[in-house]
Amino acid sequence: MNVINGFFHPSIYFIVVAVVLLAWRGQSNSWRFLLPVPGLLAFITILSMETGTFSQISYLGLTLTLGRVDALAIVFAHVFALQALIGFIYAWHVQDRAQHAAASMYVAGAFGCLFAGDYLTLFIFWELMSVASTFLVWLNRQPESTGAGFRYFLFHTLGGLFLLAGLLLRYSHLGTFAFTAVDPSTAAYYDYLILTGFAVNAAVIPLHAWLPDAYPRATITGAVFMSAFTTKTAVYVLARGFSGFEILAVMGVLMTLYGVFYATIENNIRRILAYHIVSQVGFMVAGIGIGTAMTINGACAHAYAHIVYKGLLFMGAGCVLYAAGTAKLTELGGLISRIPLVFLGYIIGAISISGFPAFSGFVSKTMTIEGAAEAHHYWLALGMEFAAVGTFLSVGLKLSYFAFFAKPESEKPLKPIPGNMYLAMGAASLICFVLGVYPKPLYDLLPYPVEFEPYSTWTVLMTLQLLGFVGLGFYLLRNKLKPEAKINLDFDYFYRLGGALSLVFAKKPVEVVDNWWSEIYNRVGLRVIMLLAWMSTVFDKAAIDGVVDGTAKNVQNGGGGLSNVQTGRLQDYLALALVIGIGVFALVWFRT
Amino acid sequence: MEMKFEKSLANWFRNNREKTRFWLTAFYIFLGLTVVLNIFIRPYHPHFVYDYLPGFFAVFGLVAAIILGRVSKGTAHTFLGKDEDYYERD
Repeated sequence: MNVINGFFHPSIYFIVVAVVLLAWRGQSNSWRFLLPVPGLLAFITILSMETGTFSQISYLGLTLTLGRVDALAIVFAHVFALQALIGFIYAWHVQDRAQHAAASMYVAGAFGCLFAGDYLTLFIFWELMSVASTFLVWLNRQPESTGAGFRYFLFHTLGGLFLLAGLLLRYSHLGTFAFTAVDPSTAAYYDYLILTGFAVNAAVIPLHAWLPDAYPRATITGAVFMSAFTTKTAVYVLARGFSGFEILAVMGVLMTLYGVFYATIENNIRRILAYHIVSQVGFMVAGIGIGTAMTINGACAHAYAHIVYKGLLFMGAGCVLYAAGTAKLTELGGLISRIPLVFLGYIIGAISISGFPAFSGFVSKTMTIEGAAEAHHYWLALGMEFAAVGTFLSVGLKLSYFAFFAKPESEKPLKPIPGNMYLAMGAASLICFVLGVYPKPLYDLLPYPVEFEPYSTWTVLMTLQLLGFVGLGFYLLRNKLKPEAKINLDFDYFYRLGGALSLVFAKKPVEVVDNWWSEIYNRVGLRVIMLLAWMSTVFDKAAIDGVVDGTAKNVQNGGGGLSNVQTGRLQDYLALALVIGIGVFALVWFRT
Repeated sequence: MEMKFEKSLANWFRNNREKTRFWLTAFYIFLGLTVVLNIFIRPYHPHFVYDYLPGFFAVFGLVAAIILGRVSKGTAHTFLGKDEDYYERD
């Protein structure tokens, strides 16, 4: 039905695969041949996609738009499909089908957000992403992952509530759920509520602490997926709704600096990379905040390049963790001649993120910085230049030096790395290189026409000089920068303060929203409430109450002896919520 | 084939790790070259006031790296850094 009018929703591929994986019975391993399929099909679908508005569904008197396709959506969808394919190749060896199903649902949610034409549809997929990705943390099955998963889910639920509150209040004032650009000069308080909800997922400081808290504790393969989709979906919705908001320009540059600052002192390699997501997303948020055609192009191009090289870096770090059994720099070192191919893949990711000429970061990062300077935001451009220095210092030099060099050849027993992990890293490396030397296909995808030429003798020389002298700086400081077996306080300190406090913290917004609901009931009436009732059942009653109780217990127990019954029950609870949600979604989809 | 490539790559890395002197010299020559070339190649549109000066980005990169390293490590040593079991303790 949807094929006929020129649009087939890529989420369907991923949902089908997730359902098949969960329903699979028997000892055979042949289910794994399904893994690369949805990414591949989605990629083909997106290549042949036409712009327009498709799959509109009337439900309870509301029109849900599941398929709004335009240039902005396509550039993100393009790289999402690519990264889903690479991610599933990387995860090919994982036996745990639940992990694959969670990853698949998570990607389905991301695609749903990209093509959502209204806030309600967006919200449904937004929450799907948040639930599914929580499982990618929990399924690591470590005691620390349980706690981190709770904090992650709690914080995203909070962000989701900001979004929900904003979109409902917006409806009560404007009478529409349409997801369109907001003019910064006329933005009302409900727009800022929505912006706050988006900012949580974009890891805008100080709402970012969930990211370096949860990602290093997710499964090795799950972190590769998570590094790509949550923050970049948020970048997409910000680009669509909130371009030109001055505050985003400033916050974005602060993010770029904040991320590299922490990355310079962290010890856990996956946490260094997680902080670096904050930094890199900062470039995109700043580009969106400045809001010229060139900086928005820069943000999109950077999102595209970033998804691939950050995935590559997480794959490299994942390989180190998989082989050596630890992600702490203090316990690593001297690995270069033991796992040379991992080093090679990692270093390609590292020079891409640092913006070396001939690799993908160069053609996208320069666009944002140049765009900022052309829009006369010199301080912002200078701040981003400083962050670029920190990027090479922490991810390019510090991490690779202390993990692969620094000590004599490591004697550590290493677990052999499966070939599929190498294959995925090879594919990502190739993309980083091809985009770097031939950026035209990427530039052609961008929402605005590109009049930017990244390569000139000056830009290449300047970049080499800048990065070369950062290398010198690192060489001089290499003993000073030695990693230490410590953790560093961040804003997550505040939401760990204690059981009682976090309970209050988590409950308050819920109550506020409850009050708002009564207001909206009076204003809009029963039809919306019907839909809300469903959403509240799924997300409020099941998810939030469950998590609030669970977290309080968890924190009261000092983070340690979490009762198995409690966790098990909550996870079942959430899974059920997810299944009901998908069931309703499927019903709605096929009735039209 | 992949194994063979991996082995020769490992050997190459192993041998070159010992040639510190060679690689350091090459690195210094490279740095010098970027500054010398900068005398002849200048930006068409300088963004910041001083970046038409040759070697501006050399100084910027070096100073920024040292500031970042010093400030972040200093902060970690004074109040941000905690023992690894900080959150697990009662």
